[in-house]
Amino acid sequence: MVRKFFVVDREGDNKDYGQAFEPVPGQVSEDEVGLETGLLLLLSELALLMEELREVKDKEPVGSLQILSDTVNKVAGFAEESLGGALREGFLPEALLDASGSFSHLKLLHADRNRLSARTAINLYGGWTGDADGKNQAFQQISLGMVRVLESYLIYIAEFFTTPCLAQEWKETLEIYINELSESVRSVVYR
Amino acid sequence: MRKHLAKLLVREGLVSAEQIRESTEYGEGSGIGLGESLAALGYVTEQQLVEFLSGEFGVPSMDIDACETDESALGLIPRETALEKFLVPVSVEGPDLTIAVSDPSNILMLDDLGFITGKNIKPVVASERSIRTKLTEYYGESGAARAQPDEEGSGEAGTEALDVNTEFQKKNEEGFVFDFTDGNGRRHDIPASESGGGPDLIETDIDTSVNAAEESGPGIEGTAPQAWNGIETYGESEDDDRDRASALHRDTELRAGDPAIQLNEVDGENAREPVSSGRITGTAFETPHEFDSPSNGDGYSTPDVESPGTAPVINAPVSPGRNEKTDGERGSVLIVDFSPTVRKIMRISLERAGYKVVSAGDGMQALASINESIPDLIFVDLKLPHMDGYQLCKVIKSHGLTKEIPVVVLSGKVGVLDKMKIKMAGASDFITKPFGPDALVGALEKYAK
Repeated sequence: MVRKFFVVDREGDNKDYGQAFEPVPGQVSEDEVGLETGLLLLLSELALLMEELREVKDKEPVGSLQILSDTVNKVAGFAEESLGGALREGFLPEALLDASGSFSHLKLLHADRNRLSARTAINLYGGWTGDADGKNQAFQQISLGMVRVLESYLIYIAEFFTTPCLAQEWKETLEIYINELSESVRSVVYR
Repeated sequence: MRKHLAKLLVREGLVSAEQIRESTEYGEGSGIGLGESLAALGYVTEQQLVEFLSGEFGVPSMDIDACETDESALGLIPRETALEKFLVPVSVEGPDLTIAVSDPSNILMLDDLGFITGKNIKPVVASERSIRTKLTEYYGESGAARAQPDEEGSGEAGTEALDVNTEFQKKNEEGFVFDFTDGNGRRHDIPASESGGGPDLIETDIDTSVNAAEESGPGIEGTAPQAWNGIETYGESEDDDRDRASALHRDTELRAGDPAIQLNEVDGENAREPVSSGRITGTAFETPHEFDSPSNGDGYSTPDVESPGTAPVINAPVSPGRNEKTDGERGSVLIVDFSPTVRKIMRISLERAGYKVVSAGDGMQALASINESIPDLIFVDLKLPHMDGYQLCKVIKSHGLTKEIPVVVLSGKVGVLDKMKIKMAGASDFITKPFGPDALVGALEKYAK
């Protein structure tokens, strides 16, 4: 199957990354088409979760921890389903370990059978005895750490696009999502 | 029956404006509602009315003559409320309270009932006569106690509560102006000329019109000003009920003077053809076709929600032109969604299907975009900053040049009340999130001309 793809740059103009400003059709494999269709639906679901996060952040900030772990698990499920055996085994624990280098509180989260659990962190939230600033900082770290894990997954998935313009477009699209999510997460005040 | 419902009946061809006028007079004389009056005069049957309203608002109909209300349902609605709002409680099942109404469009009333009773209100449509009979039976009160003036006066009935002022300004020499009041009571003209009109502007307008006339045929200039003035006296925000029947009559006449219709008559062409061209320059939106912030392209940061006053400025009078289709292009789409992620994935989905896409992060940007170029269809998210999707839809649908553009609403959750609000705002359809490319393309294939 051959499909015609154009890439839209930040100004909304059609653009081919090989020959500037000239949209050129490329050969796109069935696998890429399938991956793209799946990603479009996945991102629509993730955007809805992000909307829920924005809604819950003022009423019940701790709810955003659950939403973020659900988000990670949704992407983990998608990666398993769409990439199959191409997905590295133990991807989630590795990503968690990598991210905990920058976000040390992330060690409070557990990965079990390639799914993330925020239960311990949520319990800790309810029983927090330290000061408010420390609490906010700790849970911000955990939240942003989960975003980092998510980013690892999405970057990995995007690498499966082999058509250059498509790979570039999806890299940008996933960046847009990660940036928007990061912004939403930073606006949560854990009190 | 509220004024806008009467308009709807006329618009959909169920009855004529004259029949509405006569029935209103008849109803005032005999103390019954418009629905009953229409039926009494033989213009429409009760059953037809009920079926029409049921279909229009997606609310089931019910023959309440044949059923008895259970005591628990009766106990939930105070007698005064039932009489004042002209409704009959039907049944209560768990969290759901079913009520029969003759006007299913009164969203605020239904919201109020939900608040009063703590229940999920499930409306059903019944005839005015049936409701009156049941009210008399249950409350021993003549159904003639119906409080018609409350329909509009209670308030902000239905989507009119959205505080959208869709009147169009007389100063039509400024071009195509959307004028609305946002939720904070701030009034916006989009786009509003900061040059203040004056001779130069008028001269430019004439020049532009002449150019357009040369390209598109004669008769364009001169029609719009009359029509704008006409429309100014028309609109849902007009809240006087002094002469409802004659107002309705006038409305109907004015529709015939709508600019779109006049353009059709004069030009013999679609009213959405380009009339003149102009370019938006200025404060908020530098790029002419992409209304996402230039700094973020299709994302990277959310739109500045704190700057509703930074409406775009026009240098020359602008009237919207339709996007010209190129080979292989199936039409143009405007996406209005706060989320850069959603805008981006929608853009990918639609461009893959061959559509030209413009996107906007809020209603202000959307109206500015429409001012630049009229799309074949608009996707509108309900949750938007400054003015929500309902308001935006209503503004679009109230303007002669844009009312024919199909609007498809995007929303996470769509309940019965949401469906009614969407319908009332004039949207063609809705798509629930999350959605795949097929849902978007399907909507375009169904609604875009």
